[in-house]
Amino acid sequence: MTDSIAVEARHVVKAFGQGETAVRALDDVSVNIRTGEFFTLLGPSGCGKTTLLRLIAGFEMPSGGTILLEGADITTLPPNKRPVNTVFQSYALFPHLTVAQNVGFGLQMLGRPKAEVAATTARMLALVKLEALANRKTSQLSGGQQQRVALARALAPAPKVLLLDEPLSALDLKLRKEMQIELKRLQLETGITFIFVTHDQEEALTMSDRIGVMSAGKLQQVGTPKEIYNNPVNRFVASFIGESNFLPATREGDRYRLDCGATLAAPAAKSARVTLTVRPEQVRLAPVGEADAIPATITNLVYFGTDTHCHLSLSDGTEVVARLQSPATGDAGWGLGQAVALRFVPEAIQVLED
Amino acid sequence: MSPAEQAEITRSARNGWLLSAPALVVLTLAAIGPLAIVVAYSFMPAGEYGNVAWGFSLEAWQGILFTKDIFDGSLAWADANLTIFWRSVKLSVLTTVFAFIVGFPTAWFIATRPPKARAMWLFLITIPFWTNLLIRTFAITEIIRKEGLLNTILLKLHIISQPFEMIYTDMAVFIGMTYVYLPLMVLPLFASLDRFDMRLLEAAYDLYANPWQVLRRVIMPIVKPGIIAGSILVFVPSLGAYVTPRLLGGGKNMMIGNFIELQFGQGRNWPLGASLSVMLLIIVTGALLVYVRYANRETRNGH
Repeated sequence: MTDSIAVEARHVVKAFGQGETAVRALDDVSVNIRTGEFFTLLGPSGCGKTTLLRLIAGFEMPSGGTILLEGADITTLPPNKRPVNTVFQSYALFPHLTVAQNVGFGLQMLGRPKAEVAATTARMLALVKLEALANRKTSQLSGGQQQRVALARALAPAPKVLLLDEPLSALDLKLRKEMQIELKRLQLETGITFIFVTHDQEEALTMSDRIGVMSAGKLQQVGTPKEIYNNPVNRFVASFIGESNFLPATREGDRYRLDCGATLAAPAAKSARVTLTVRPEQVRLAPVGEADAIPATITNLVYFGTDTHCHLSLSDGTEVVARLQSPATGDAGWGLGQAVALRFVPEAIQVLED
Repeated sequence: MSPAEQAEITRSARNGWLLSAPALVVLTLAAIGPLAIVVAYSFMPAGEYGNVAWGFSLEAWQGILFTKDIFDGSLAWADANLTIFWRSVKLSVLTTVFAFIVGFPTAWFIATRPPKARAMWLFLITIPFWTNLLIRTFAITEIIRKEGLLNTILLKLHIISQPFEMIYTDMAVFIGMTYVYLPLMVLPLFASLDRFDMRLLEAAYDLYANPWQVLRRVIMPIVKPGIIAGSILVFVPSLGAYVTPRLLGGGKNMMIGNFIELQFGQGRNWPLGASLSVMLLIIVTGALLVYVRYANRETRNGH
């Protein structure tokens, strides 16, 4: 992976509708996507991630801002003039063409010689392991196979950037897991920059080099999966990626006082009033009476096999969830209604100033 | 299965036949019966005062292409007939092609409207069917005749200095038939385009197709059934058109339909009229078979 920039969005705005009723699908989004990286746009539906993808593909024109591809302004270029290809959520395979003809379509439109089209098509079909189905009609394929054809078709013209619009959402869980690994393999083999849109945070964490978390038309945070998970910049990112406990607190010197009265140490913050976040797996339970621990009561225990989710209530009513690894004996020894002492791994506490 | 059940099934099957019996009777009497009579007449000699004489004769079939010299009985090509056949085929093909050129954008426009507006546009397309064909054709006459609306406007605007002769030409027949049969092209095209997945357009654009390639390589192959259906619906009635060429072509520019009518009327040659009718039927059926088979083979091969 080099540090050159494949796609750059500068202050991109996209509004749908006019005047009072206009909806800002994208509100001043700026992002750099590096050459050769697997970049994921992650967010709930309606956050603008698909709109950003469609702007990069050229299906929509931005209301403001510019989009650059390898440094060149492509903002007003039509889709057929952009060296960028898309894998559509609906696959959008051509029903009147065979699998091979679908894969070769892009090269054919580019006017490449017949021999080259045939050779590249064969190579792409081999890449997605569909050689045997080359002459089938696409309607005769299963969902997973159609997905592979769509991938091969988009990769065949060797685009500078491959855009993937929730391509796995129509597949069942097992197939989705397979395709996740498959996609990652294809990205590494081809070295093409992938921009992947999903609302599935697990998908984003497992596949991406970097993730851009979006909400309400704004890019909330861009970072590696670890950065996003461990150092969320705001409450939205912390709650959308994985689960989190949110504890309102007041700064007292270099310590923080929770609303329930307990104090604890955490990284420094500027504001006086903050929210501390802790991942459930970073919460420890201890018997009552341990020093520097927060008193709590167990309100619910949910068994998940590998671990148990322990719902706790602090003295001021704040809810905290702890994810406890199930011990070999099967019973962690905690009971409903039991008073316990909470302890957070200090490095795991994030301070959100909001 | 018990005998009672079996009897029940037999009875309901027979009832099914009974229900379709009226339709079968009507079809037999109204379609197959007259057709059989026409075929029979074409193999009979002409009677003195119209009608047919009893007997067997191939003269009517010969009369399609040849005329017999009344003095020495030698055969010569019937040039007048050939002119009429050629004009019919030419005008029908032109009408079909032009109806497609005009009808395709129209159908596309309707198919891309929001669902509510679509119903309104379709309704507007079918409005001409509410008026009698004869009246509509007379209306066209009013527009294109020498002192008609079109010439008057063009003269008033000083675009032309002399009224141009349009009525009673092949051009007038062509315009009239295109107008009359256009909805028959638009409706099947719309039905096809309505089912067309518009997301394929984005896929094609994304894969470097220019707008013309999108039309030729994606839209047209997929809506081909609609194109075939529309072409058949326009071509077949065009070839046998009677009212339009009669009113807009005058007496001179006859098409097959008028020529057949002539044989049963003033011509008093019923067998020739019958043989011409059967020939028209054979040509249309043959053309359709070739077209459909050709179109199917193309689809099977991909593009």
